[in-house]
Amino acid sequence: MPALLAVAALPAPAASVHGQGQPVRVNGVRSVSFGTVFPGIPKSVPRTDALNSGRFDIRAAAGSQLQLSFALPSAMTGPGGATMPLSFGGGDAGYSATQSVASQVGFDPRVPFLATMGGPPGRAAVFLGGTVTPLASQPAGSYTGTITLTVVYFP
Amino acid sequence: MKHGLMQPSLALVALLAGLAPPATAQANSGSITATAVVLQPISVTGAVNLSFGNVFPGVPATVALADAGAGRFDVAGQANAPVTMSFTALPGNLTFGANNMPVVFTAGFNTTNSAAGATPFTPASGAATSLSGTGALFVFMGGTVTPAVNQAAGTYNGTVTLQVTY
Amino acid sequence: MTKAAWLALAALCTTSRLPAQGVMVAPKAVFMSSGSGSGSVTLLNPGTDPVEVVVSVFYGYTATDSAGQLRLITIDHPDSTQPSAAAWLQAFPRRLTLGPRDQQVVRLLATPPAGLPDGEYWARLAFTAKAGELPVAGVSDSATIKVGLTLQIQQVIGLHYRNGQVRTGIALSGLEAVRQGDSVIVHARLERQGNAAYLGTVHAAIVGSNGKPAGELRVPITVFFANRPRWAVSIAGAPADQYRLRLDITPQRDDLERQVLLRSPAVSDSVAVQSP
Repeated sequence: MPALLAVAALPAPAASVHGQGQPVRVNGVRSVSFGTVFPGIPKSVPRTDALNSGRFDIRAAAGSQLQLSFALPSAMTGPGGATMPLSFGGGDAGYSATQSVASQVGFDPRVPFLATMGGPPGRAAVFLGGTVTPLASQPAGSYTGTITLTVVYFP
Repeated sequence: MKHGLMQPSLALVALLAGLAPPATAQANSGSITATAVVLQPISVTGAVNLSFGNVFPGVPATVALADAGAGRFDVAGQANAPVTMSFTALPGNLTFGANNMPVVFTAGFNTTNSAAGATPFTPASGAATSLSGTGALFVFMGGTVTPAVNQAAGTYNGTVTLQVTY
Repeated sequence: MTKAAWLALAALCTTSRLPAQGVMVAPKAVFMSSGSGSGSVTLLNPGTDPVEVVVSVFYGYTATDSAGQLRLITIDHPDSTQPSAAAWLQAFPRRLTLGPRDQQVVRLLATPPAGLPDGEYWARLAFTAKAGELPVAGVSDSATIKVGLTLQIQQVIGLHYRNGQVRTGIALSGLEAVRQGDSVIVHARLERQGNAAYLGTVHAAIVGSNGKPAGELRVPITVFFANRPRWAVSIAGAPADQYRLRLDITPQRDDLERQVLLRSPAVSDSVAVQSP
């Protein structure tokens, strides 16, 4: 019975989020910034990099279950349509129920990850690192890619 | 058992929220970008050290540009970019304390990694050329050390600087 | 001397492969202006060992010698007729150690004197890094001669400081083309106009009597004062013919950002290729 009560206690925050028409809200907050890179020299940004790692903020009902899945590009696009390989390793994503870059649970961004929202106010963050591998002949210029995090909310 | 507990709770959530139970889980997405700026660098790296091999008193030791012991520097930059190169502050002697051992250097360059086809140049005077169509240049370095018959035993050192100007 | 003693004197040094020691420098030329008195250069150590880099600033420019080869001209104490920025340009830091794969930015700060006339002022930035040390190896005997060499690499790039109104251009004269074996050797006199270095690209094309191209060359050029460069355009395999050289010089560079290029008219000329 205590278990049933605990679950039954969930509706209040869930209802308020539902009331806004969005059971879960995901905002891209910060880009994964590789800064300047040299041709032929790979560069990684760790998910624990407080300035350069990517960041998504999530709002959902406290204690709810979420499935996080990324749409990850395999390359960034630059001048004249040039592409530059971009890769993500098994520990390049991190989930923080406290929205703290210093307190993350690492996970593989290439496969869906199940997370549990912390207590009120129901805010979490996902941090993302990655590795860019410029070719030795990589054309100079600015490169960008889009990374999408989809959060499936299990009410 | 857990599954059994969830069913009434979901119904309760829907009921209290005044909504019909969702047919499927709901999702939302957010996007960020990944950004990088690729620089167009130039570089010179020491790829192989000049090595004189066995050194005997009274027996000059020579390393030709095409020998296995020749030194090699790799220059990389933009395709066809003009560069000048010279060996600055070349020592005439390698030194060990107050002891000298004469040394002379030879040099050559090639746009491919082949000392055999390298264009020789006087190291101190330098040379000018252009990088290859892929932005490469290889600078080879050889030399001769001439130990005296009574050359004092020891470790003889010198510093060689390759200056590359763009 | 016995054979054993000779052997004892031998220092066995083997060819040593370096883990590509040196430093990568970007960009290949720095452009600063009176509007923004600061600039930067990014250094990267591509190797697996730390590299110590010393940054120095001096006055110099490139010019061709009598053979048409490019040379770096350095002047330790430039007089007032030389557009030197070296005296009022500072780099921070001037000495740094880069760990493996480390990147660091060297900041450049210009503090030009008041009343500096309009024009472009130049300096050279040198990045000196140890490229490796010949490991001293050999017989473990105090009576041996060992040879060690410390290799250093100094990469020199140009710095252009633009003050006020700057303009440039190029005057082309004295075009010559002579066939020499499989190549056409081209000489031309290039005189910079205006008050800023000319940055452009030379396109030399050798065309046969049937109008078909037999060879071409594209070379980026920087002219600080006046140059008489020599270029060799390969026409390997081209039959005997009456060839003409067409030379076009345009203020475009693939290796520099467009915004640093000053506008000026393209110039061109053509000449018959002489037989030696």
